[in-house]
Formats: sequence, structure tokens, C-alpha cells
Amino acid sequence: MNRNLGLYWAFGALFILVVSIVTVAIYYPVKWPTIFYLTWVISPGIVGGLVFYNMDKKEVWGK
Amino acid sequence: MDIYTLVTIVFLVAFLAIGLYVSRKTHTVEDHFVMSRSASAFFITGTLIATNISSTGFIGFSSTITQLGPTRYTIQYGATMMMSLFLGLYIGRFLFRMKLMTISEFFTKRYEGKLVHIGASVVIFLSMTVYMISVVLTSIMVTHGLFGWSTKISLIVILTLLTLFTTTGGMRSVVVTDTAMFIVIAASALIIGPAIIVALGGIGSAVNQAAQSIPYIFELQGNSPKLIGYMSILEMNVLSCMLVGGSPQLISRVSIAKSERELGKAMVYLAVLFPVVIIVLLYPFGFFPLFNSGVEPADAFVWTCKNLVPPIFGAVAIAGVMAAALSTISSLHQQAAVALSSSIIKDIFFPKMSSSSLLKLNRYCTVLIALIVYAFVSNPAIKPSMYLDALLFANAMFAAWVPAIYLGVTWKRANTNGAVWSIFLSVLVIIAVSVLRNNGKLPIWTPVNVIGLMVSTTTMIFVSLFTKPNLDNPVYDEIHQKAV
Repeated sequence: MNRNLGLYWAFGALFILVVSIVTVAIYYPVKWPTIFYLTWVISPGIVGGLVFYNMDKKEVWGK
Repeated sequence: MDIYTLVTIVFLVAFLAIGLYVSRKTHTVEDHFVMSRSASAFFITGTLIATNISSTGFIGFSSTITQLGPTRYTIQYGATMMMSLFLGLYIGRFLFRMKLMTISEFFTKRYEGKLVHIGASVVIFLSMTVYMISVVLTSIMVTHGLFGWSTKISLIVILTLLTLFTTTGGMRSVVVTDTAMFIVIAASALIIGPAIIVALGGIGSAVNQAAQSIPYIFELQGNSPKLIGYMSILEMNVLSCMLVGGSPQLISRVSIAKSERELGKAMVYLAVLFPVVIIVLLYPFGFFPLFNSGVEPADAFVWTCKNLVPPIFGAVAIAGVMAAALSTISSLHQQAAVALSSSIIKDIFFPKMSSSSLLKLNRYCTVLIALIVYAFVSNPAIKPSMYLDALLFANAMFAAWVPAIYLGVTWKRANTNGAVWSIFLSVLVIIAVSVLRNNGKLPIWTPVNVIGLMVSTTTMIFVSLFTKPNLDNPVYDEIHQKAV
């Protein structure tokens, strides 16, 4: 069982979010609505990965 | 026969073959309803994405995005992800410990008396059937646009295929086929969305052209007045929460997981992968008006498949739409049949029915539901454009029983009176508000599901607080003893 799995997925989502925001910041004439949109849609992956990592560390899973 | 028809038929036959092959392992009621609780995170993620996206996601949303802008309808997937995580990492663990065969069984185990069980089962059956009608309506738009099939031919082909593998393989066939379909859907997403941006000369060129002629695509509310746009965003986000947290076809996936950790892992995979599939697939359709192609918005997806990518890729993408439609309908079909056979007919009228009889009854119910859907959709009064109304209504119905589940799991004081009043009162309110909105007596932006959720939640809390609690509930204590 890989106990760092949640951390890897959280970093994956963070990478996707950063790339998306940088793309919008470079090309879009009106930036903030799209940045808000991307953050709202992608950031749950970061939160989920970190929460899962924390749950794995504390071994909270029932049988 | 052109390449699009040929590839779609090849994929449909392949999905049917997979479903029938997997059905060899289905022998017991537990196999049929919850695939013997053996699903890994990969299968749970595959079936959740395939079921969630549906043909409504491909055809309906690509059409709406083409008209209104890219963010207004896809922003809801943020709420989808939040709710998925809440379900998988918190609430789902308690439901998993209850070893449920059907969602209605939760009400029998957690609350006393038959009334709450009957109410929840009827709401589940009705909402699943209406939701199935919504997805079938969008599937017919695809088969009509693609093959030129009439409504009746499309219905006969789609419903026969689904009934075949849902009756033989149950949940196992649905989940494994869904996962195969998810792979095709993801491939379609990676082909079609980017093709629009590439055809416009890359992201820089597309944005420059959009800034000149369709600047509304950079705003959250899109091509609508702010009030209507923001209320729609609110409604769609609540709709997403209801869809993930309350719809039986998605929440039932908790019961197929082989462990709590596997369920949590699936939700993390989902929260990272699903937004990527959605953004890559749907967001570029906001730029579609720049082509000035003259096609109807409802045909934008099929037009893109046929004109912007090599035919073989376009054919795979169209097969992906059919896959999305079939996976969702099969899940809805399976859940509606389970609600009707096990939760309504068996539990209410024949509680001593044997497992083998229940399995047979479930298969008859699957056929019966296919006939009901056929009767509704082939009615000339039902138009394909009604898919969104049906979707919103079915979804609003989930709001009726969500508080009874979520508060039932997390709040010991939640009692039977609260659950009964919450379900029945909110169903009445949801039906009344839907009718008033469709008749123009209420503004079109009135969010039915938000109102339904507010009524059901407040009723559940107040009635539970002011009536006699049942604090010695063994089920509540048991699922919380194992929690840390």
C-alpha cells in the first residue's frame, strides 16, 4: 500500500491548475472570471489528495 | 454505410459482448445488485465518470455552451468534485459499513416504520425513470443526427441493447462496461475539444478572435444577463451536489467497493481526472460560434467530429457519445429496476420472497421499465428539447431524500418523523414549483432543486428536534463505533 498516493495526486492536480492559470494569464483579455472558474473546478483534486494522504497516515479506514 | 456508422456499431457490439461476457460471473442477488462488493478504485472511478457525463454532457452541454459560453454550465463540476470527495471520504464510509444492497435499504435500517421506506423507494423509482427519459431523449438526438434513425427505431435499438445486458449481468456488467466506455469517452474528449482550438489557429488566435466577436465567453454568466446567469450557476452547482450526493445511480457505487480505502481512492482519482476530461472536452465549444458554420448548436458536437478531425477519430468520438449515453442509461435502468423489484414490490408486498424469485422479478422489472420509457419517449408530445426539464425535475426529486440520508448518518437525533415529513413535504413543493415555473407563474430562473433542498433540510431538522427522538438506534451506534 503506497501511503504517499494522496500526495502524488494532489501534486498532479496542483500542476494542472498552475498550467491552466498561467495559460489564461498569458492569453486572456479578461482573466479573473476564468481563473476563478479553473480554481473552483480543479482545486478539489488538491484538497482530496491531501485529505486522503492525511487519512492514510492516520489509518482511519475501517475493515 | 459510412465510417461513423460502422465504428459506432463495432463499439456497440463490443460493449454488449463485454457486458455479456462479464455476466457469466453473476449468480446471486448480491452479484446482481452490488457485484459482490468487489470493485477496485479503477472500476469505481470508471463507472462514476461514465455514468456522470452521459450524452447530456456531450450533446446537451456542448450545445448549451455553444450558445451561452463555456463556464456557466461546466462550473458545476467543481461542486461535483467537492461532493464526490465528501461522499467518498466521509459519508460513504458510514454507508459502506451498513452493507446496503439498495439505497432504499438505508431507510429500513436507519428509520422505523414502512412509510419512510415507501416514500424513499417511490421517489427513487420515479426520479430514476424520469432521468432515464431525459438521457434517452438526448441519445435519440445523436442517433437521428448520425444515422437518420426515427425515434422509434432509435428507442428499440437502445432499449433492447441495454435491457439485454442489464437483465443478464446486473451491476457487474454495468460497472465493467462503464469502465470500458470511460476509456472511449476520455479518448473522445482528448480528440474533439482540442480540435476546435487547433482549427482556430491555436489558443492565442482563438482568444483574439473571441475577444472581437464573442467577448461574453470570458465572463462567468456567459451570454446572459447577470441575474439569470448567476442564478443558473447556483442551480447547476446545487444540481451537481444533488446528482453526486443524492442520485441512486452514483451513491449506489459506495456499496460495490471492496474496502473503505478503495472507495476513498476512487474519489481522489475522480476529483483529479474528471475536471480534466470536462475542461478539455467541453470548454472549447465556447469558441464554436467563431466558425460561423451555420449549424444548429445541437449539432455542434457531431459537426466537429465530422469536419475538424480525421474520420476515424471523429468516428471514435461519436462512439464515445453513444458510450456515454448507454453507460448512464444502463445505470439508471439498473437502479430503477432495483427500486421497483426489491424496495417496492418485494419489501412492501412480498417480504418473504426468495433470492431466486427476486432475481427473476428484477429482470421482469428491467423489461417493464424499458417499456415505460419507450411509451413516454415515443409519445409525439414529448420533444427532445425537454431533456433539460426532465433532468432538472429528476434531480430536484433527489433533494427530497438527501437530508434524510446525510442527517441520518451524521446526526443521532434524526428520526423517522423528520424523514417522513421531509420527503413527502418537499416532493409536493418540488412538483408545485416545477409546474408553476413551467407555466410561467414563477420566473424561469427559480431554482427548483435549491428550494426543494431547503424545504427538505429545514423540515428534517425541525421535525426531528420537536418530536420524540429514537436515541437507542443500534445501526447508528454500530457505524460510528468503527469511525475514528
